[in-house]
Amino acid sequence: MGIRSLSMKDKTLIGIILVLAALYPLITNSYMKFVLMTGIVNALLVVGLHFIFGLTGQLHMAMAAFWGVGSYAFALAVTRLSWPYWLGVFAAIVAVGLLGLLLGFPTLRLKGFYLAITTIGFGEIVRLILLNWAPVTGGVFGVAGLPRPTIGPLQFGKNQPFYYLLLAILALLTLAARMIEHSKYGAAFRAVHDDELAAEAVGLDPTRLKILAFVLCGVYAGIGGAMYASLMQYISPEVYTLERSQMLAMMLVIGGMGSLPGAIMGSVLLTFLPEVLRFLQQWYLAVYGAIVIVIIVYRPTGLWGIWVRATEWIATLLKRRGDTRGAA
Amino acid sequence: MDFLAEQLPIVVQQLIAGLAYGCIYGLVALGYNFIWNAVGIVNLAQGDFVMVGGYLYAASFVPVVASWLGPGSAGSSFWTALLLTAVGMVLVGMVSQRIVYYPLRASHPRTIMISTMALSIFLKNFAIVAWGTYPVATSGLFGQKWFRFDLFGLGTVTVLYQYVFILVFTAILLVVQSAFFSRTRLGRSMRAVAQDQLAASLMGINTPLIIAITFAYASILAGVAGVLLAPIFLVSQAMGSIGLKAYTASIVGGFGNVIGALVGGLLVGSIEVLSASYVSSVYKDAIVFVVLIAFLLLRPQGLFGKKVIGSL
Repeated sequence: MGIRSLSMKDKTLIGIILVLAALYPLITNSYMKFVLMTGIVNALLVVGLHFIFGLTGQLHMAMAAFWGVGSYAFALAVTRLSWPYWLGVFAAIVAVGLLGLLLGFPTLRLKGFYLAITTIGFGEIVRLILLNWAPVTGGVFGVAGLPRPTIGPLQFGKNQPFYYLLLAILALLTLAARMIEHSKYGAAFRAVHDDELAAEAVGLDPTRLKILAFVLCGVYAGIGGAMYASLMQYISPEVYTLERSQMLAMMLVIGGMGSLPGAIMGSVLLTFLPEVLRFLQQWYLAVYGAIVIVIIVYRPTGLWGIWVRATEWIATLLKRRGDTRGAA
Repeated sequence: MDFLAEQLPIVVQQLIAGLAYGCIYGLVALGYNFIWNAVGIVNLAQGDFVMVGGYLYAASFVPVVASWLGPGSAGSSFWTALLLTAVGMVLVGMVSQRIVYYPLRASHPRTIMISTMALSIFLKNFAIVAWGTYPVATSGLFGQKWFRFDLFGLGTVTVLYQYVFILVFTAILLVVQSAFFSRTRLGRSMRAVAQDQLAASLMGINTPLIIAITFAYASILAGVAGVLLAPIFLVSQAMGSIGLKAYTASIVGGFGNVIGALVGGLLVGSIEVLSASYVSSVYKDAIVFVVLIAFLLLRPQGLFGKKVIGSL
C-alpha cells in the first residue's frame, strides 16, 4: 500500500505527527517546549472529546471533570496506594470510563441543550468534590510528587524522552480513533449526529451509541488526565473548571468539528495561541475569545476546512504549471 | 417546641435571603425563557450578561454619575445608574445577537449554542481587560443597612435592606412586564413571534427586529439582576456562575414558562440558602446542581411545563 492510496485525512495525520516530532528539538526556549508538551496532552483529551462531540454531536461540557478524575485517580493510585505507574494509568482509564457510564446511563436520553446543561452541572459537582473532599483529594493543596514513567530499562523522567513518549501515545490513540471512526461504529455515531430520529428509524439505538461514545471519551480522558498529572508532577483542583471544558470544546470546534486531524491541529495551535498573543498583554484573552467567535461564525469548518482549501489551491497551481510545461 | 421557637426567626431570616437570591435567578431565567420561546436556543452567555450588568452599574454608579450629581445624591444616582445600565444592556444584547445569533440563524441550534459559549468566554475576558481582575465593591440604595422586625413575639428577624428591596423591585418589575406584554403593541408582537414566527411575519411583524428586541430585553433582565446583586456580592467575573443556577431555575419551573421561571428561581434560592446552613456550606452549589440533574431526569418538563420530550 503506497502513500498515494492513503486519504487526505490520513496523510495529514501522519504529517502532523511528523511535524510535531521534528518541532521539539527546533524549539530552543524551554518554556515553549513545555507548552508544546501541554499541547500534546490537550490533544489526547480533545481526540477523546471528538468521539462524543465531534462524531456523535453531543455537547459534552464536563470534559474537565473527566480529565480531573483521570488525573486524581492516577495520582492517588501511585501516591496513596503506591501502585506501579502503568497500573495507575489503568486505574485512571477505568475510573473515567466508569464515570462516562455513570453520566451516560441516566442522562443520554436527554438531547441538545438539556444534555449540555446536565453535563455542566455534573462537571461543577465533580469540581466541588475534588476541591472539598480534602481527606482523599488533598483539597486545595492537591497532590504533589507525581512520577514520570519508566518502561523496563527506559527512563522518561526528563522532558525530551517524555515528550516523545507522549507523542507516541498520541499517535497510537489517534490511530485507534481513526480505526473506530472508519468502523461501523463511526458510521453509526455520525448517523446519530446528523439525525437521531432517522438513526433510530434504521434500527440504531442512539442512547447506546451515545453511551459508547461517552465511555470511549472517558478512556481517552483517563489517559490524558494521567499524562497531564505525570507531566506537571503536581495537580490541584483549580484547573479542572468549566472554563477548561469550554476551552477543550473550542479546540475541537476551531480545529473543525468531526475531523480528527482538525482536533489535533486545534489543540496544539490553541495551546500556543495565548503564548503568541502574549504581546497584546491583558488584551490577549479577549482577542482570543473574539478570534474564536469569528471562526465559529464565519469559518464553521475550522482549521481543517482552511487546510483542505489551501492544499486544493496549491494542487491546482501545481497542476496548471505542469499543464503549461506540457504545452511548451 | 422551645427549639422550634428559637429556630423560627433564623429560618425566616434565611428564607428572605433565599427568596431574594431566588428573584435574581428568576430574572435571569426569564431571559433564557424569552429567548428560548422566540428562537429555540439557549444563550450560554446569559450568566455573563449579569456580570456585564454588574460592571456597568459599578462603573456608572460609583465615579461618573455620583460626580455629575454631586455628593449626597446616592438615591437619585442609583436610579440613573440603573437606567444607564439598562441602556448599556440593550446595546450588549443587540450587538451580541447580531454577531453570535443572526449570521447562524439557519444553522443547527448546536452551532448557535457553541457560538454563545464563545461569547461567554469573550465577555469574561473582556471584563478582565476593561475592569481588571480585582472584584469591585458597590453600594445600592441602602448600603449595608439592616432591616429588623419582630416575628410574632418569637424573636427579631434581621435581614439586609437590600434583600427586601430585591423582593419589592422584582415584584414591581413583573407587574410592569405583564402589562407590557398584554397592553402594548411591542409586547404583543414579541408574544406573537414567540408563538409562531412564520405567522407573525405574515401578519406584518418585522420578525428579525422583534427577535433582536427580545434579546435586548433578556439582557436588560440579566443586567437588572446584576445591579440588584452588586451591593450584596462583589462584582467580578465569578458573577457569571449565576448562569447555571438560573438554568436550574428554568428547568425546575419548566423551560419556556414565565411563571415557572420565577417559582423555580424562588425554589432554587431557598434550597441554596437552607442547604448552606443545614447541610453543608461548601456543597450548597453541588446540592443545587443535583436538584437540576434530578429534575432533568425525572421531570424534564419542570413543575409548570408541558410535556415536550420530542423537542428536548
